[in-house]
Parts: sequence; C-alpha cells; structure tokens
Amino acid sequence: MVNMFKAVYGKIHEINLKYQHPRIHQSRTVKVLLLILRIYLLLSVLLLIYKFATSIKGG
Amino acid sequence: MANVPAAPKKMDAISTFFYRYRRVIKFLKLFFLIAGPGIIVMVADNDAGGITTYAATGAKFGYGFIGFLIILGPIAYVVQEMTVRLGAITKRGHAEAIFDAFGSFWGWFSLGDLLLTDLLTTVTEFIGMTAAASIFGVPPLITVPVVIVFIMALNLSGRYWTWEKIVLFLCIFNLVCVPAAFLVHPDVAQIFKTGLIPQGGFNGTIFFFIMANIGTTIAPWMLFFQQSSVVDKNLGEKDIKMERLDTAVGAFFTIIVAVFCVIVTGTLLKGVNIQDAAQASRLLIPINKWVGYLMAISLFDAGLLGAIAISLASSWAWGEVFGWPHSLNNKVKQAPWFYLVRLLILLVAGTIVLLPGAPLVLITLFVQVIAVTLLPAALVFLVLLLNSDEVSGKYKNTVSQNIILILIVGGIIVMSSLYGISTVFPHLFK
Repeated sequence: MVNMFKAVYGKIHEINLKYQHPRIHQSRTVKVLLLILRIYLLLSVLLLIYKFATSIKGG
Repeated sequence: MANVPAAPKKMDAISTFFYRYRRVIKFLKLFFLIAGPGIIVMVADNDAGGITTYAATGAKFGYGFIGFLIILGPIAYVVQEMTVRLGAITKRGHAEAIFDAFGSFWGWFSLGDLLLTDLLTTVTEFIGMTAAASIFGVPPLITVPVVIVFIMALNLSGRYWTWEKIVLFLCIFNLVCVPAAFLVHPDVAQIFKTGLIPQGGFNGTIFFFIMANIGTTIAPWMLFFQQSSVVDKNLGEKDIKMERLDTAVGAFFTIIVAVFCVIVTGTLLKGVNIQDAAQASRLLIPINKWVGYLMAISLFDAGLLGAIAISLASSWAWGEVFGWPHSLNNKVKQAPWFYLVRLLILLVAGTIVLLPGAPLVLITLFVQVIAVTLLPAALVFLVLLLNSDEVSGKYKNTVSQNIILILIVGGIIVMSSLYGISTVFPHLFK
C-alpha cells in the first residue's frame, strides 16, 4: 500500500517536473486572461461551497 | 444462352455509373472512413440531460425555441472544430495539450474538474437510463450492471474502428424522436409561424431555458472527447477538411434530434411542467403509446451514448497525462489503467444511482454548476492554444475566426456563468 502511494507520488512529481514550464509564450494578454480565469474560478468555488453548505443545512 | 449478351451490357451500366460518379463515390468512401469522432461527440451531446431539457422546453414553450436551437448547431460546430485542428496538428489530447501549454497547475485543475464533472454527469446518464428502462418494466438493479458490462464489452475487440462503428450504429437510435414527431401530426404551418421567436415576451423563465439549452449543447467533456478521439483515430493535417465535415454532420444531427424532440412534447404536452424525459414518456403513453415508447428509447439511448463518451473522455485524459497506454486500439491487457479508470467511473456512477436515498437531485444540480466552472476555463485554453504559433503553427486562428470565436466564447461564458448562478439562486432571474 505504502509502495503504491510512493509510486503515485513519484509519478505526480514526474508530471509536475515535465510540465514545469508552460510552452505558450506568457505575453501580457495571456497573463491577464489567466488571472481573470483564476478570479472567476475562485468565485465559482466559493459559490459551490456556499450552495453545498446551504443544501446540507436545508437537509 | 439468350442471357449471355446481357451481362456485358449490365456490366457496362454499372461501370458507367461508377465512372460517372467516381468522384462522389471516392468522396463518400473517404468520408465514411474518417467520419466518427464528430458525429459521435455531437450525438452523444444529446445525452439524458439534453433529451430532458428538450422535452421540458417543448412542453413549456411549444415550438417557440426551435429557431434558437437551430442557431446552437453552428455555434457547437465552431467550438468543436477547434479541437479537430488541435488534435490533428499536435497529436495530443486536450488534457495533455493544457498541461504542455499552461503548466501543471492548470493541467491538474482541468484534469480534476473533468473527472468530477464526468463522474457526476455519468450519474445523470444512469438516472436517465434506469428511468427509461423502468418504463419497459426493467428494474434499475438489472439496468445498471447490464449497461456497465455492455459498455466495457464494446472494447473487447481492442480496435478503435470496431468500437467506433458500433457506437455510430447506436447513434441511429438517438434519431427515434424524428418518427415520433411524425406520429404526433404537428401543425407544420404553426411550427414555422411560432418556431422562430419564443412567444409571450422575454422573462426569467425563458432566460433560464435559453441557458439550459446552451448548457446541454456545449459541454466541457466534448472538447476533451473529440480531440482525444481525433488523436486515437490517428487523423492528421490532411484529414482536417473531412473531419470538419464529420463535425458539421454531427451538429446537424444534434439539432435535428433537439428540434424533433421539442416538436413531440410541444404538440402533445404544451403547458405541462416536465421535470424529466421519463416523466414526459409516461405522460405521452396514454395519448399515443408508440410516441411514449419512442421517447423512452430515445432517453435510454441518449444516456447510454452519454455514458460511453463521457467515461471515455476521462480515461483518455488521465491516460495522456500519466503516460499510460490509452488507445482503444489497445486490448485490456495492454492498457489496464486506461480501462480501469473507465470502469471505475461507470461503477461509482452506477452504484450511486442504486443507493437508496442517494441525493440525485442535488447531484443533477451540481453537475450543471461544476460543468459551468470548467467550460469557461476549457474555452479560454482552446482559444489561447489556437492563437499560439508554438502550438498551432499555420493552423492558428485567423483574425476573422478570432472575432467570431471571441463573440461565441464570450457569449457562452456569460450565459453559462449566469446559468450556474441561476442554478444556485433559482429565484434570481424570475
């Protein structure tokens, strides 16, 4: 079991290293778009958590 | 002896026919060789949730949404065509392309979100299938295992070609809404008269249905599925033209099914609030049993195609990123992880549906919200990838393509976000 987790962790680490540097040129437009996306996703996740919490409370 | 001279004449006629139409025949042969990913992704898009949305739309507004549904066809085509180009040029699936282009943070985000969305959407496919099968007296305890075994058995041949042809055959059953619509004898003049603009002005309910129909026509898993499918089929740059046609034909069938489904419920159930397509089938059976049964078959087939395509989209994506063998041309022994991910998605989704008291309504609601979360991200990545010289080269978007795309993608992002918000706060737009 421990070996399996180690293997999975090792594989994830390997993937992270392989894709460490984005291939797309990080122009200003790309950076701004990705920043907007991060904010959008953060808000979406907050919305999801709120809905989940209220759904659980409401039974 | 009298027949002997006739044979060359007959041969001549056949030869002449083949010679005269040789270009058309060659074109059709090539099309049927390459066609598959586009038709499958578009028809599978009419999944259980899609059929439910169309049935509910027809029952609520009659023929009023037909014009809008027709517009969604070209929009879905424009979005999916981008994945064709990307797959054919990069020879990489969408998940791998995101990892490569944007780094591991966005890669893991997309992969995790895709798995969650696919798992929950597969639950809704099983809900649709079990509800449809129960109309024919088949209990969920039989439907779920039989469906899982059937889907996994489709891969036993270890050949993409065989899998694709079987799934294309299953796509035909998605069209049963068409004969159903003829059986209800709709008023054709009325369809043309009221079909273009929703009647009764614009209000929150219409807005909700517009968003629901967009949500069912363009889904995140479709991007991942078609790009991986193009790669698995080994289509290259020379095949882009034909694959575009394949996608256009698929978009045409999607809209045909949507429109005819709306015609069925718009003719017989107008004014009834439909919660799901199985309910529509049950209501239709006393009016016209064949129409009711056809609607149930359509729902079952939609759920089955959805489960086949959606589970595959995830296992392809995970296979690409983890570097496992991940082709339908691999047998189970050659690609155990690829098939295991798929089996796990189906098993977990099927089990959830069978659990007594499982929060299926809550799951259906979360599917919409989570899908909305992934869609803008997936679309933004797609646009950026197709504007990158490093990734797309000579196939990158032109200025006019970008203008059309930005309008469509911007519109989809705004509408899908509002749809997500309206799902969480249902009274906001009413």
